[in-house]
Parts: sequence; C-alpha cells; structure tokens
Amino acid sequence: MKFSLALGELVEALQILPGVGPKSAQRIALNLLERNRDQGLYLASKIESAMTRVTHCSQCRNYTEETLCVICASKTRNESLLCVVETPSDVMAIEQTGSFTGLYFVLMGHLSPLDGVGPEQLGISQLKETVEQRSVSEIILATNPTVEGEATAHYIAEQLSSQDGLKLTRIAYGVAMGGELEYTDDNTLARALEGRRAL
Amino acid sequence: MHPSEVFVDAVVLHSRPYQEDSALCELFTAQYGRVAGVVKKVRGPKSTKKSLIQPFQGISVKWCGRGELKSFTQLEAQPELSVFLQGKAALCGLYINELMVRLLTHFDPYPKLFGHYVRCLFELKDADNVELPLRVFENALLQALGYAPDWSCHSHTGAPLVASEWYLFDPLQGIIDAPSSPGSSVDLALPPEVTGRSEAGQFMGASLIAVAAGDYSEQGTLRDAKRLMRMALGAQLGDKPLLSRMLFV
Repeated sequence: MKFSLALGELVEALQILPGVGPKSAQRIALNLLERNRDQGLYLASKIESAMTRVTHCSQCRNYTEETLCVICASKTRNESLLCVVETPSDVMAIEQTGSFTGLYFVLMGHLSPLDGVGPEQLGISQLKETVEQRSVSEIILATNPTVEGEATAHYIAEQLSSQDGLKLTRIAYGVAMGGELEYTDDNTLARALEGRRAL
Repeated sequence: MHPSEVFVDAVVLHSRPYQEDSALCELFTAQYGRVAGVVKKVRGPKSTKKSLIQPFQGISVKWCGRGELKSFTQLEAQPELSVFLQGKAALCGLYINELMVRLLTHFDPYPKLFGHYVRCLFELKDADNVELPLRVFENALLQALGYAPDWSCHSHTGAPLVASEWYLFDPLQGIIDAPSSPGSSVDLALPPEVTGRSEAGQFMGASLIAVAAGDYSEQGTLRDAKRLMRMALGAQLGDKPLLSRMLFV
C-alpha cells in the first residue's frame, strides 16, 4: 500500500529508532494518527527540545542541558571519588545500585583503533585535567569487561600513574549474584577464579 | 568440506555492534584467511556467547552465505587458540589486529601466518619485553604478504650483505647501497631534514642479517628492526595512520 507523502516520511523517519523496522514503524505511525495525535505532538516537541538543548556536561561529559549535570552540580556527592564509565547508561546502572556516592566521568565509548576511536575521542586529556584540578583521591575504572574496555582502563591508568597519591582501582570480575557455576560461561568462570580473594 | 558443514578454527580480530543485538565480526582463519560476517543475537541479555566475539578469542565456527559477508551460524570456544591479554599486551594485540585488518584482504589464506599470529598472541601474554614478539610477527606478516625483500641480500645484485657496511632500505627497491655519507649528493635525494644515517633509512648490514636470521640477541637489533618494520609497513599502509600506535605514546 502506498502512503501519503507525509505519512510515508513519518514511517521512514521512525525506522531510525533502534529495533524499529518497517512493520513496527507503520504500526506506530498509524497508532499515533488514529488514536494519539496529542501525544504524538507532545512526543515531537520533546524530541525537538532534547535534540536542540542537550549537550555534554562540562565536567563529566554526561548528557545535560545545563553546564553541569545533576550529579556534578550536587553538593552531597563525594568529590574525592571518581568513577570512569563508557556510556551514560552505565552511569544510570551504577546510580540504580545506590552504593556509589562519588562523581563520574563518561568516556562515551572505548578505545577501538579499528573503529577510529582513540584517546582524543574519549576525552582522556579532559579527564587528566579534571584529576589535576580537583582533589580526587581514588579513580574507579569501571569500563566494560571486554578486551577493549580492559585496554581502555589500562591506558587511562598509565596516563594517570604519574599523579601523586592517586589510587587507581578496577571493578572486579565475577559470577553473577544468584547465578550457578554450572551455567556460567567458561571465560567468566576463569576470570572469577583468577580474581579470587582471601576470606 | 564446506564451512557450513565442518567447524573451522579461527581467532577473532575485531567485532562491532550490528543492529539491535547482533555483531559484525572479523575473523582470521588458517584455511580461508580473513573472513567477515554477522553473528546474530549474540549481544542480547540472554546470550551466553558474548565472550566468544572478543578480540583474541579462539573459536570454532561454521558459516553460510554466498557474498563476501558471511553469516556465522555456529560458534564454539576453542581454548587452545584463546588468549586473554591484559594491560600493555592487550594494546599490542589491538595493534597487530589493526595491522591484520588493514593489510589482509578477505578470503586470501595464509596458513603459515595463522601460526605466527597465534604464537605472537601467546608470547605477548607472557612477555617481559613485548617488542620481540611484535617484531617477529611484523616480519612474518610482511614476508607472508610478499612486501619484504630478503633482508640478508642486496636486492639489486643478490650478493650477501656485509655486516660492517651501511645499506639503504627503500620500500620499492629493497636493500640497496647507502650513499657514501649522509647528505651526500647521490641521486637518491635525501630530504633536507636528514641529519644521520638512521633518519635516512640506513641500516648496518649486521642488523639486517640478524633480522633475516630472526636473531635479536644483539643490543640494537630490536631498535633497528622496529625502524625497518615501520618503514616497510608504512609504505603499505599509505597515508592513513595506525590509530593503535597512538596508544603507546
């Protein structure tokens, strides 16, 4: 079936969303037109506002429309602890645990020479400046437990190793909580054994 | 037997996210050389195969598809080929993987190079000095691709090199006579910034003979080999620099 020009363009535009193919795009577009026009306009205005206003926090590089994000601007956070993560969704994941009170630095990716991502794209020089200017006592390198994530953590640790009195730590590997060894994949189990600790 | 029926041993060179939960992977195999393809549903929350698409992971794989981009249908761990590189060794591993992807074309088999590649990864894991396995591998890669001359012979005359003589390496001509003194007006016009023999791409015969023999015991051979490999690889890599080299500054 041929859509009208505007509807066709909407169906095509919706397909830029992750996980949305032609069928879903058509379903969403028709649903908005038939039943949810007000909500559709609301969605359009919110997308426009976020796309034009949201930039990076000047301190941690997380997304925000202010100069500083909510976490960096908070007076109650522990400024001497800095957690380095790959993406904003990693910040959200750690925030959900409620067990971290320090500040973050978001790399927006990991070192991947074959994808054209080097130290410059990750803002490593900005991280170095941040550490030099503020009284950070510990940096937790919480990049993903992938080869590239490990390499990124190692590179950052090397770059910051000259800072006096700075403690550099890496998040632990292990078996998932409530998991069973039998169903844990070989590599995770091998790392968990390697990283065992005394009781 | 076709790889859709029998498992092929491979090492993962690189993988990147593709669509919602799939990945685009570059593999290096002994029989087929570099192979690219898609692994479906490998990145989803329930997937237990995520660790199998990490660089340096050894796997057994089956694939299908007629085009250059295959569909990897089955993946199993191959522990004998797997190395877990950490720290500097991982950065070095990313460097050799970048070299492989930049220089090898798809479906061009190099069975010997596969052995060198796997050995290099294992040596990087335990190496005190990462330079040695890197130089050995770079040389093996250049030899396999046919981009390196016989380091122990004069490329024009075929005569064995004299250890105490200076020679010039030119990526197009190979090992040739060095101008009598640096900066002299021989027709091989040297750039004005050249101040010494090293900067002019010149090497002692002894170093070249040692590289040809794979003997890095003499002090200075590793340093010269690094310079030599950089020149030889640089000529093949063209204008686009290797990003992984920036990680060693």
